[in-house]
Amino acid sequence: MRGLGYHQRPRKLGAQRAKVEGHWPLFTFEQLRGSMVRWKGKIRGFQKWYVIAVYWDPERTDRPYVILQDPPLRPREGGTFEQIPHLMFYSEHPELSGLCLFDPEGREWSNKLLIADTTMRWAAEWLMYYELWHVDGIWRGGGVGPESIAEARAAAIYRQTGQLAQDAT
Amino acid sequence: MRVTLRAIRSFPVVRSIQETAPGLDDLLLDVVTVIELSDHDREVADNRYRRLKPHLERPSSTLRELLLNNSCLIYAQGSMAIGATIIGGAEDEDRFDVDALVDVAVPAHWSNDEALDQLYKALQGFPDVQKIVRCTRCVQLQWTFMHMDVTMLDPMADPRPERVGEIFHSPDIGASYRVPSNPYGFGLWFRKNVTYPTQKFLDEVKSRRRSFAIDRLPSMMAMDKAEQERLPPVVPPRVDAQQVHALKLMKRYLNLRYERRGIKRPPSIYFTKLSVTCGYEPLGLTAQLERFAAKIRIEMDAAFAANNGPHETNPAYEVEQLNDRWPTTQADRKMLADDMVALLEGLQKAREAEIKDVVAVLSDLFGERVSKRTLDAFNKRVDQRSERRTLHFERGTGAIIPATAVAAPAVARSAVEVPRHNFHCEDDHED
Repeated sequence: MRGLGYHQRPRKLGAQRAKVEGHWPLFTFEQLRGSMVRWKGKIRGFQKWYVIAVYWDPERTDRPYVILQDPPLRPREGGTFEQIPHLMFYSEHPELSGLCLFDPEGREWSNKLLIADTTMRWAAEWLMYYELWHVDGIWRGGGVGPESIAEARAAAIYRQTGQLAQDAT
Repeated sequence: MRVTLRAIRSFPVVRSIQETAPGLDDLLLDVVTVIELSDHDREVADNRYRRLKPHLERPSSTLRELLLNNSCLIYAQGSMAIGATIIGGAEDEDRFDVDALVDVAVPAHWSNDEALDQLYKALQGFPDVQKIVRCTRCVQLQWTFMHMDVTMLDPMADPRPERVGEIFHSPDIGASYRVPSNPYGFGLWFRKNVTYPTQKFLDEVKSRRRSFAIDRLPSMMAMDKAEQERLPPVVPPRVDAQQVHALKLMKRYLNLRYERRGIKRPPSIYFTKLSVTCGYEPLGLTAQLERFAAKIRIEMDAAFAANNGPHETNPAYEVEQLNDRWPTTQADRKMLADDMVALLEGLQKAREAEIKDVVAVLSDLFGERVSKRTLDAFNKRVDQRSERRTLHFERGTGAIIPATAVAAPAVARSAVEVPRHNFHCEDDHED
């Protein structure tokens, strides 16, 4: 991937912290329970400022989990959370769904990369397209797979119905 | 009253990188591209300028002898001379107004009404024209999409500073008189004193112009058929300085504000001068427009407090007062000051708003049709669905910089690429 500093081994928390501190001065770091950490701060995609929180466990290979805190995620007027594009959907509290910023199968992120150079930049980009989506319901940011959970679930139902029909014959 | 830089910057204060506006700057540049004259418009205007001289010198012209016996110059003045002409104020109109100057020595025995009377007669029968109106200081040629104000300038006696002279103020009621004038010198002063952009910026603006011109052509097909000869232009080239773009935005904003008021509006040339004297703003087009509006507001507040002025003169010819007929009342001053407050408030709102609300602000300030076309253009430029684009963002804030070439220098310096990736989607209900 062009421009990204891949490391031989997973990046240590110190390196991640230093980079976020250097490049994202409006973010603060916090150690949470266990090995979980959080960066929280102001970012904008277009003009509007948002507060986002980036959760990450440096002792696991999990990707960072990014949520919108202020203002929180909101559907289009008259729409549902499921229709919001590109989320790691959290059904119980959809407003706390994470932003799905890369394709895991495309190996676009690993813990050998810096959160400051990847996750944070992608979040800014997501925010701009999210604002444009709010204007007319069109996601112009591209992506792979279904655009939203609503679309994914509809496709699953369609597949199931097709399968049932086939079984019945 | 002297206006200090500190006073100009006092509202609003742009303090840090957190207050840059790369997204809004980008949209405002699109607004400029929508409201300015297209290359096609300029060609049409150019051809009509070119026709003035042969028409006024035709055998049946009442001015033929005068023009042939004296050295006569006919040239663009006003906004056309500095490339700051915009399309008309009305939302559904593409009309634009240009100015021409007939620079010729008039006979000493002519009264101060005679020059415009003679010009009015001589302009009769101008090709394709729909209506000719004699105004107080000019004769106006009207076509469906274009008006041309033709003014006569009687040159000063030798030794004459370049193109200095007097124009004629000749109202229906009241006394006629001569007004010292040097629009040519003003145009030169303007071009010399604005801050010019980089070549990259010019290329980006040119590319936007091309795309808008394509979009605009269908609505312009009905445009009057001026002779479309490919000749060297007589209209001076555009000036693509940031201060000129701010001037175009200001003119558009005020056109819409004054359109429904039915009162005399401040002269464009007054704003043209202030667009330069407010100074260049390195933080981008939004900040430039704010700086410009703040300067006007300060001028109006000072004039209101003094119940006098402002008295803005032509820097190329100090005896010429640029706003000699405006303002006439305190209400004029107050209204313009309030307009500037409303503009500054609108821009401040747009600085902090999401795109949907930014577009609403742009509709309010520059018209709904303009803001719609602006958003369409922006959408096309950032659309990743059919073509991958490498976006940049402002380090530290995350703000996406839609085009680094047109970003403020401070923003462009901190631009960093967004690494390639694909947005994805995951369902916690998935098996």
